[in-house]
Amino acid sequence: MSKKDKNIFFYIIMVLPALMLMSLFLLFPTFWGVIISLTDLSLLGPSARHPKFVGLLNYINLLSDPLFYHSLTLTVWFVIGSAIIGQFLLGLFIAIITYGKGDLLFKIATGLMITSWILPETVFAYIWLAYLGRDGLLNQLLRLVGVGPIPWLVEYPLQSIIVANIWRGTAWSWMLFSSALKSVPKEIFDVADVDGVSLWQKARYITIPLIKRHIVTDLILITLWTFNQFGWVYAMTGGGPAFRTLLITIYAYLRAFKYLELGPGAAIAIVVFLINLFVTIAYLKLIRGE
Amino acid sequence: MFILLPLVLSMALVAPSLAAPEKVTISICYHHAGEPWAKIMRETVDRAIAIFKSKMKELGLDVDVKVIELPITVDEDYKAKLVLDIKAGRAADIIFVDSFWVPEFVEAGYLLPLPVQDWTGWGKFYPAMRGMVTYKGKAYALMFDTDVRLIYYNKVLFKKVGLPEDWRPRSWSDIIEAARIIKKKLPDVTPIQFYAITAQGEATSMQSFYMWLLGALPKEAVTSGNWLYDFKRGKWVIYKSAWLDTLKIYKLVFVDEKLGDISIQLEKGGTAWQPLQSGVRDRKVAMLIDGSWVVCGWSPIGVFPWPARDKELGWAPMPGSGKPDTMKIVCVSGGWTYAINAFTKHPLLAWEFLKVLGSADVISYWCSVSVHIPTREDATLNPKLFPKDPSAVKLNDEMAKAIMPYTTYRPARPEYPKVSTLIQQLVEKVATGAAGPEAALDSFVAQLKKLVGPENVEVLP
Repeated sequence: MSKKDKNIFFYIIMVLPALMLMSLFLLFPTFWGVIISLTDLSLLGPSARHPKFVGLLNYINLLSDPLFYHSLTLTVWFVIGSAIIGQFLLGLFIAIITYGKGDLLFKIATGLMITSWILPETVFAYIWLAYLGRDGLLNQLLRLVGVGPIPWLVEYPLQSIIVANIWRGTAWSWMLFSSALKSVPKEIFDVADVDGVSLWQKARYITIPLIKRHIVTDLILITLWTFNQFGWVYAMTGGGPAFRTLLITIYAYLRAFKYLELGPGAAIAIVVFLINLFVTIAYLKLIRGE
Repeated sequence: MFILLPLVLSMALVAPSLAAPEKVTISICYHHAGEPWAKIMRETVDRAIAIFKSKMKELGLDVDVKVIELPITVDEDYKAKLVLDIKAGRAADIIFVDSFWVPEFVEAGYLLPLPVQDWTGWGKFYPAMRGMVTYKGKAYALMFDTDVRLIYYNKVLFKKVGLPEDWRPRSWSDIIEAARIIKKKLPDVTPIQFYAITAQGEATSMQSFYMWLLGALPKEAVTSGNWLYDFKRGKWVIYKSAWLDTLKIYKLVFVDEKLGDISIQLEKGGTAWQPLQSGVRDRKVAMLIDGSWVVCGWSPIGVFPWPARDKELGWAPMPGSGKPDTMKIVCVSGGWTYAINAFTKHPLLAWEFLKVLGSADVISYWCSVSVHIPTREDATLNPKLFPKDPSAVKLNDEMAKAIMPYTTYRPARPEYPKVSTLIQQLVEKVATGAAGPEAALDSFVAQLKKLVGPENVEVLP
């Protein structure tokens, strides 16, 4: 056995435990999900006892399922509105205007922003329910100026969860960009200041090109996180009212665990998985192609 | 398995002489929507446990019953938990099951058939109550209670606008007219409410859609029990004009004239019943279509105590549409059952306990305190059993006598719960204005055909 072969053998041994764990907890459940999505397995009725293999029927049914398209469209708007426009742009903007500032006010603001990010999902959902409710804080405040009450979660459900998600997630983008900006030599900005460059020009010609990789990383992560968002949205709206916040993850959950149709539920989950895979590959190509 | 019971019990009788018998524990689970239901169900179950234990003691058996209370407000959430528990082998031996779930539970293999032929108590249940828990010729559960649905109204509000305090609507237009008068004279009051959202689950089908639909259907379809599923032809039947008339009521009430408030229902979702039921008490909602048990919620121990209830609460049987060849009074009844989990390790003891739960004594007690209607002919509503609110028991008795003769039931089919879910989506679509009655009904029929197969659906004029 040559030295090189020995090395390969050694590497395999080293990655084996990780590989086994990944297979057990990641690959196997995914594979199992694919299998279930090809059956009519249900937890109730005849197919609970005798599930049948139905091929791609669950996927074909999705193509003519209005709720599937509805939930997919809602999810895309949710991602564009709250992740790409909201968290990303707002995070970048705050990172640029707070760059180089270290005063007390800034530190307090940092603390508050991180708080919104680290709140447990159910607590977060409850806070926003209490805030947006018919007798909630927002309507109490609006009453002082003679407006409302507006049942926000009934009239503007999607907008409400978009705003909530921006509030929750902006801290992450901002922290990422802040630390990225710290790696940019301060002299560049000093020179720019001397030349009287505007804030917008600084962002356009200095900041963004220098932290481009961070931007792509941020976009990959927040797109995936937002696309897969489930917990607090479900706790807050349950997908309602009248399916107007039925994100695709909530639809998969309802099919599998409320209507107890595991086959169709799994098919939706697999579609979500494939979309995630596609988004990730597209972003990675974007990085490599630069 | 059950024919071995006397043998096992007699062995148990001699067992003490051989060795100290091991204590056997069986379990029972149910859910409740908070007080007063939590308290009264616990009292009822404890009453049954005491009888069961003393019975078993006479046979020399030392048994115990573990009670698993699940404070889950929404029935569908309880169903999901129950089914997952059963599948995982962790559910209780005796389970609380809504009567309309029985066929799909049986098809899934979750319920044990009951040897009712060897039990004299079975014949005491009313024929309709036996029918609701019988599937493909076998009995799978015991009906614990049943109910009627009707229209409640607040007499104080009616008096204010000049409507009679002993109001008896004869047709839909009487109801709509009353609602219009209230809207005009009392703009801060919601004239009428009935459930119209998917989050209210089966309540939207039972306490709302069917209560209107039954009044629009041909009389013969209702009285024969073939109004949703035609058992003679083995098809789901959609009487198109009746369904459209019903959906037009939702459009009129919630969208066009805003006689009902869909917004509060959507906002509260699974707990929308709370502002509706408290609203009738608080003079915020003038009319509400709901179940007889709601009277218990308005009792002194209830979730919305209403001291002036007996003076201020009015009720009337739900009238039909008033069109020719339709019902004059309509109602649909359901009810909850106790059944045996098919995966129980103690089927014999579970059956013994189930018989106690289904006894005249326990059912009389439960129905009296919870304002439900007894399912056995030898069970009675007794005001003495509910000393905190004897008048609720009397009220319940009056409702039962006035409405039970007109009531009908849901088809006992394993697909029914899914059909009902589609109906709830249909109602919500129309009540929120997302689609008009015709378009919503067309898409409903298409989805129904996909669910049960196009050959099993018939659309009638």
